[in-house]
Amino acid sequence: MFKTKQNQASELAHLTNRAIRSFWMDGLWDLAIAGVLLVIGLWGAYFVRITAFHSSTWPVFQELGENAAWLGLLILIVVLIPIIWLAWIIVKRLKRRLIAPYTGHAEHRFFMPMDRTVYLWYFILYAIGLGMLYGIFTWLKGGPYLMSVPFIISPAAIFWAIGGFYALRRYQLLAVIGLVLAISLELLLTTQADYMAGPRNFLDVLPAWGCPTLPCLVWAVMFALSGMIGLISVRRLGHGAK
Amino acid sequence: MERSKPLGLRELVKVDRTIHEPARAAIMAVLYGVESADFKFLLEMTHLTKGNLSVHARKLQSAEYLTIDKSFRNNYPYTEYRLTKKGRLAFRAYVNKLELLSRALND
Repeated sequence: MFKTKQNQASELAHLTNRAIRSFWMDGLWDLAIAGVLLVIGLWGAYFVRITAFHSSTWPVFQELGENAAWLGLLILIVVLIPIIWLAWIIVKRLKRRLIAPYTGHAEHRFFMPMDRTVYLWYFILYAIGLGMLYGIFTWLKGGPYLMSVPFIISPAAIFWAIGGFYALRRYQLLAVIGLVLAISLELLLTTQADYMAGPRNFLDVLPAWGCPTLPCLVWAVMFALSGMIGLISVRRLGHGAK
Repeated sequence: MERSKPLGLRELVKVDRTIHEPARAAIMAVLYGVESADFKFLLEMTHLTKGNLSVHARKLQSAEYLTIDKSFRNNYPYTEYRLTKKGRLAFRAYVNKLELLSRALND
């Protein structure tokens, strides 16, 4: 009796998790996030340049000084909310058209009843990664790369936490590849900008700020790759896709 | 899921009989993770037969644990299942009770 009861509770949790997992399995949301990351990347290239170099001809940024970065972040969040909402609507419609004939259709809630373990893993990985990367960048590049590091570690932590709990192997694989790529490229390709000459491109950064464009581009590619893999595998294997 | 204080034996045996049937518990578990699901999705997730799924879903509907919307999409019949608020609360309470039961038997 004991075994039956215990198994039944975990079997039910497993079924609930499988239903939640089906949201990421087809990869459509990953493709949408790839698009969102491109928008953030564009913002990063433009905004970090303006805030880092006060020689900008925009008086408002000269007056705001370093506060402009935080204001910019606020603007980005406000702009991203309708974009993410629109992406959510489009993804729901595409799921109905492209995926439903293969696996059936389920409407997921925007705030899914995910297990606490996922959030816990995400915050642990994010906090450890943030601390370590700030240290590494300060040591090797002469500044903490404040704006870059969260964009390097956050997608990796999300991929790893969700992939681990919901048995999506492609997420965990892409988390490792993306993390290594994003750190390596940020270390190798970014150079310290010459304040007098001004930045030549988005790779010319101030070590204090860094630039989130490069990690955003890396993660956009990773998410797009994950989306394509998911889309193909769900259409071939249905709910058995990894 | 929230955990309440340990139950006495009398309380333990009072499990929700409507949910306490493997097929119905499976349907509720799948629907708990989503907003709504169609017939094919539930079929794929629970591995029930079409007849079983229909019958058990109707039983849950009569207990007001879920709603069933039947319509036509592209000239094909389309059935959508959705847990009611009452159903969500009942399922959460049922799972809590199962967990408490297994814990009580462990002690």
